[in-house]
Amino acid sequence: MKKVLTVVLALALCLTVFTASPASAKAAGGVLNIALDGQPEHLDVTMSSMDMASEVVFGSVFEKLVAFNGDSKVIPELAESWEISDDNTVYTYHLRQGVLFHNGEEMKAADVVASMNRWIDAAANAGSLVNGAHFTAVDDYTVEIRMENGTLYLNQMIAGLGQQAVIMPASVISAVGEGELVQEYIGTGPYVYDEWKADQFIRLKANPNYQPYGTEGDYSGWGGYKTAWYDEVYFYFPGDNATVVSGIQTGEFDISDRLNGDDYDTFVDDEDFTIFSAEAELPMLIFNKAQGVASNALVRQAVQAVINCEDVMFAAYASPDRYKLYSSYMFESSPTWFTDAGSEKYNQNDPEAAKALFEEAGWTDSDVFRILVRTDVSDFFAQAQVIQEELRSIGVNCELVAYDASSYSDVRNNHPESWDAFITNFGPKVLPNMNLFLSPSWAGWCTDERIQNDLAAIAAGTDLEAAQETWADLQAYMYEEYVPVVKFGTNNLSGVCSSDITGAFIMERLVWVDARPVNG
Amino acid sequence: MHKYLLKRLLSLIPVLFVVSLAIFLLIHLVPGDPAAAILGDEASPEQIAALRETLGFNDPLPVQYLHWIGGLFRGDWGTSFFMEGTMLEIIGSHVIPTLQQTLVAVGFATLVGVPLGMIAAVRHGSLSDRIISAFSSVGISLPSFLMGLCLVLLISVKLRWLPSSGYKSIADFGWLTHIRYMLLPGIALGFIEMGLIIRMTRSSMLEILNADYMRMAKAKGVSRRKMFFRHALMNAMIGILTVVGLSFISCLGGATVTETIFNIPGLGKLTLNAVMRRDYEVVQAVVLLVSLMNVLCTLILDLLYALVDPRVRLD
Repeated sequence: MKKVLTVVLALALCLTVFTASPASAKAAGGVLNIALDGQPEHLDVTMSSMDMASEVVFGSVFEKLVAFNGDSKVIPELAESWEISDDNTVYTYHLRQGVLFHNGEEMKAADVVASMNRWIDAAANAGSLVNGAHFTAVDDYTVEIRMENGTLYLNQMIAGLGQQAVIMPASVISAVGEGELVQEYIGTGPYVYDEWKADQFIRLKANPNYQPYGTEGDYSGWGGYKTAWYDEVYFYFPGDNATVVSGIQTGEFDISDRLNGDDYDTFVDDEDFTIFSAEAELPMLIFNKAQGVASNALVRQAVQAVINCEDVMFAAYASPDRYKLYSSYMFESSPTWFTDAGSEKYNQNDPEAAKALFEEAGWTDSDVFRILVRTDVSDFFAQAQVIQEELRSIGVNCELVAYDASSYSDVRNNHPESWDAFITNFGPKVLPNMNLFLSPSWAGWCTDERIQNDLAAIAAGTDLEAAQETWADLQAYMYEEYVPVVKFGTNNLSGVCSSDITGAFIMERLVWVDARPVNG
Repeated sequence: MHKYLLKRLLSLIPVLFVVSLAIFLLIHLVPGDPAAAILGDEASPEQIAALRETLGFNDPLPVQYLHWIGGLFRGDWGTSFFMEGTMLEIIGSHVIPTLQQTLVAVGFATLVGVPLGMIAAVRHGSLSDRIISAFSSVGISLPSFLMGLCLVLLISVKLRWLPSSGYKSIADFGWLTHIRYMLLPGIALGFIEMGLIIRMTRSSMLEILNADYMRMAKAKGVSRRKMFFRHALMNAMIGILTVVGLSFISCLGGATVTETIFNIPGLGKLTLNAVMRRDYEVVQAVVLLVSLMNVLCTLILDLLYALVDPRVRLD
């Protein structure tokens, strides 16, 4: 009996010791644990447009001259103020004085010039907007850019996502060659990059020397008064959805940047968790305009005619609460460019019209319409399956060509002879020109002369109303004649966090910089 | 003994050569481009082409292979396109969690499996034998991912006893935290092996318990304890050791699944990520290293046979 009692006591002791929970991490000044949808390849956000890297360092480690607030208005960040010449060809930025980089150096014009020019050279959109112009230093705290043609949208381009115009020390940039990734992540933001253990975590630490800008408590969108609420922020890359869900439920993670449709219901009625969502993605079918059956505009019009966008969106997002159906190629959140021009050709679901168009295009039974799909993105796969069925229902042979992510990119970019269309999505853009699906050099190869001329006119225009009209006409042309893509709709991105935390939200992607304990 | 060892070590060379060639060709012939992965979706074709040139992907495949093999002979296992540090540092930092997880798994499987197998053998035909046999069948049939998910749901989410996922190194967080994070993945990984060890121990012990010399020992009045542990268990050890050794190899390979479920940055996850983003030299180095570990494990097992059973002669 004594032996049994000893064993039971020993077991109870072991259980107590091993199962004791770690100290709560929800107090201000503690640790914030964020589960990311994937591990970034690197954190040089000027060189690449990856969401994961931006979620870690944008606004937290790195800052820009200007930022977007929650209403998509441009607000000052590292630039205290700016002036734009009457003809929009000269932008002059007055820098904040006394801003320190994480290595202790003061941010001056030379750093801003080096960073901004690296961005112009790396980001094709930025380069074409400023038409090859570069920034120069006027004095230690003033920089300017003089362009041949004026543009209305430089500040929007700087503040927007994509390849980012973040400011880092000139010494970090000059330490690497042109086109190479920086080796150090040194910015001016409220958090300092501390450590990256490959496949384990990325850790940021609070920047003790951070001087916030603006009015205390006034943080909105991607800018405003920032506070490093936590001593340390850890980013983990669990990968598996079930791991993320159980990690959030057990408190291993405080925030997750992605919540897929199946897991949504797990948290939606649970008071211990808060779900945050925002319209953030625009899924579409991109045609191969360069070669193959889809190089014929009539085939593209026929595919557009047969697609039932409601079915396609439902297949991927499972609930009408999580998507919207509207025709504009630009998001509702970009009112400047939002237009319903050409909408009669959106969501047609008209098999008879499609049949007639295929017949007019000279479609034969031996022709095949091949959709390239990624096996790792179930949403796109489901959407491709719906389109396949819709095409088959009118007697058009449609095949899905499936690859893993890496092979998919390779086949898409380098083997256009292997596919006729693929499905992907895009985030909101500040300018129609920034949409990759309209690029002549990106997969799909939108080389149509009218589209490229009109886009150039929009970028160079100094009259906003005229530019809006040009865009509306162009969208109608694309829906009615050229059909570079078939837009399905827009869908929400959702994240989840413990209800002990407030301030995390989605604006194109997870924004956590202002996340803080509810009672902190 | 030395001659045997030398012969076995020399036989590794052709094996590793074939493995190196196979994995090099496999990973390079599958479509995929690390340069595109590094630069993201908005990169222009020119930027991608320039990075490919910098990374040496435009060289012919035989040149790339010779470059890699040449590096291996000089002790250079290659570099990762995505991670900092030398290849050995990268693999070293990932192999430790896998080994720790495997040790916990094999330890759990052995510590639970051997005693249960012995009890089943000793009480052959009884109710406890049947319960243990059924338990081992469940162990063998339950895949580690399912076991892992069940454990997470029950132990972590419902009971909140242990963390659901993650890895905390001993150096950074201490032994206690480390073991708390390793217990569930270890049990999930070792559960199948436990089932196998129970079966192997039971059948090996049964065979020996029915042997003539055991009856003789009993007739001579040898104590029960001595009979089981000295005569039966030691003689059954060859079979049990084989299963434990193979379990170790099997757990090393199977750790990929539990590493994914429990978010452990081990060798499996490293390989998976490297394959997904075409980090060529990491995939090549890991596969070569795992092959080397497998053959070495088999060699060590053969040497252990000779140590445990004097009848086995290596020469």
